[in-house]
Amino acid sequence: MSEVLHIFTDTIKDLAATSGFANLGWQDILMILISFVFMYLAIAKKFEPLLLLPIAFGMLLTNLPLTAMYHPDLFADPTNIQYGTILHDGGLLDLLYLGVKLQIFPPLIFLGIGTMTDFAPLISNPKSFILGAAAQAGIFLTFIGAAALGFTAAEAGSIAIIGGADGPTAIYVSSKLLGAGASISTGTIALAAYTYMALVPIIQPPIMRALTTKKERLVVMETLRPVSKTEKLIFPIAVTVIIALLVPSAAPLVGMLMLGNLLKESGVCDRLVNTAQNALMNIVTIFLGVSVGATTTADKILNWEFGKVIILGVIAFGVGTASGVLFGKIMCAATHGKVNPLIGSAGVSAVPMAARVSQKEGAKENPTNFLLMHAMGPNVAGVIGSAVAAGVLLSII
Amino acid sequence: MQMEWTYVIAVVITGLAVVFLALILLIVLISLFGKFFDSMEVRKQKKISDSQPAQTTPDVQETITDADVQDEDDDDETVAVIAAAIAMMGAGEGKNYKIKSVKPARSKKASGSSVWSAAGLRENTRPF
Repeated sequence: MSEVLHIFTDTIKDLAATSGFANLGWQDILMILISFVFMYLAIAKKFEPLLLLPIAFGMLLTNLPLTAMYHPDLFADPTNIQYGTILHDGGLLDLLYLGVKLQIFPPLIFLGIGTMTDFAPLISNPKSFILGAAAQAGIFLTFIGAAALGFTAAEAGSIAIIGGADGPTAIYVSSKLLGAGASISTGTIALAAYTYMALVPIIQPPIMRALTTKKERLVVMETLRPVSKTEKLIFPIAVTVIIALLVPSAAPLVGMLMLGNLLKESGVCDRLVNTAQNALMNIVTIFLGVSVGATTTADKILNWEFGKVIILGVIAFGVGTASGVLFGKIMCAATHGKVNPLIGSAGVSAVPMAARVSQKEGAKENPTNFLLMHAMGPNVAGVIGSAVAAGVLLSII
Repeated sequence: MQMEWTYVIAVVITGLAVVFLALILLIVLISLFGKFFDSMEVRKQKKISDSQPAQTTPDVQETITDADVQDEDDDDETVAVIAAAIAMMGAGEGKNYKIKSVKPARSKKASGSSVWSAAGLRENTRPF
């Protein structure tokens, strides 16, 4: 009997020593609490919940001790990842993260986005592309800021892409550029990107009002010309060819975006469109979110670098908004008052939130001014622009 | 390792230049397509109007349901709905109304004042 009791107590002691409770440090507790905060933002405040909630939960899972779901050391050297080791020794989140590391998930997200995007406002007013390009200045000017704060080229490129206001693009670039030796992770970038995308209605309006006059905000734009089905079919093919030839590293993102759009516009692939918009998007979103969240380990979040990323992220959004509006003012002057500068801020590719902000700000001055469809042009142009900018950063860095 | 500023400036200038170049190329291409399809549409409309004989203005219709629709799309369903609404309104007032013509309101300005536009505007800005 005493022997049984002895074995029992020893077993309980061993279990206690190897449990998560015995290995819980203050950093783990803090990270778990931070994950709760992001879950609250996603559920109660509805901050991009489709991605922020899986990311927050991935953060929770990775910071619970001894779960062995994610091993950052397996991805330490981005140029020499041992995929066999990952398959043999990796946890669930290691295997899911392969979809991010191998650049599979973000292009698939873009495929779904393409099936849900209408490029007609852009086709009917191609000048919107300029506003989409102008807003990407936020990316490159933030690169300067990141360099000034001492980040490496790979880190600066990953931080700068937050200014593109495009979650999949930010994850695509950062997963390719960042290794485990970097002071920040893909999860850091994704957290900042999705948090700021949810804050677009708060960040943009003051900048828009500061940079425009009342007269400019009152500009009523002409009705957009109708776009034929043939144009809608040719557009995705032409964009893919042009962009892939010019910036081949942007081809996966832009190509999948345009494939999704072509499937939708063709009208003969309804089943594929339905799958891409629903089942595929949802599955990939879950896998992408939870595995990216798993990269937010304590050493990547509880440091000054994360604070710098947060500051640079808001700068990137602000500069992108400002440069879009400024270009909108230039276009307004050049067209003798036919372009409302407010649509310039929609060049950041937070679709359709940024276009709605332009609509709302215009409606404040003139409730009958319907800017939404005009703002959708720069908005979707920004998606293409940020994908091109991502390709450029990957090519150079 | 701190980056050299010459490298930073080179990345920024190159990046901006390539993004603008790519999107300007797309502007040119899409504009050319737009002009091409517009000219095709104009030629098509000219062909249709040349092949049709001249029509006289139709007489005033006696019944409410036979409205003269001056619209290229000739949406009979919409006319029927309008006619039914007017008939109901007339029945409520004890009057008979005749519809002489139905044509779309064409405005150069963005149609922000119509009820449908207002409804769409409310729907799209509801999260705010």
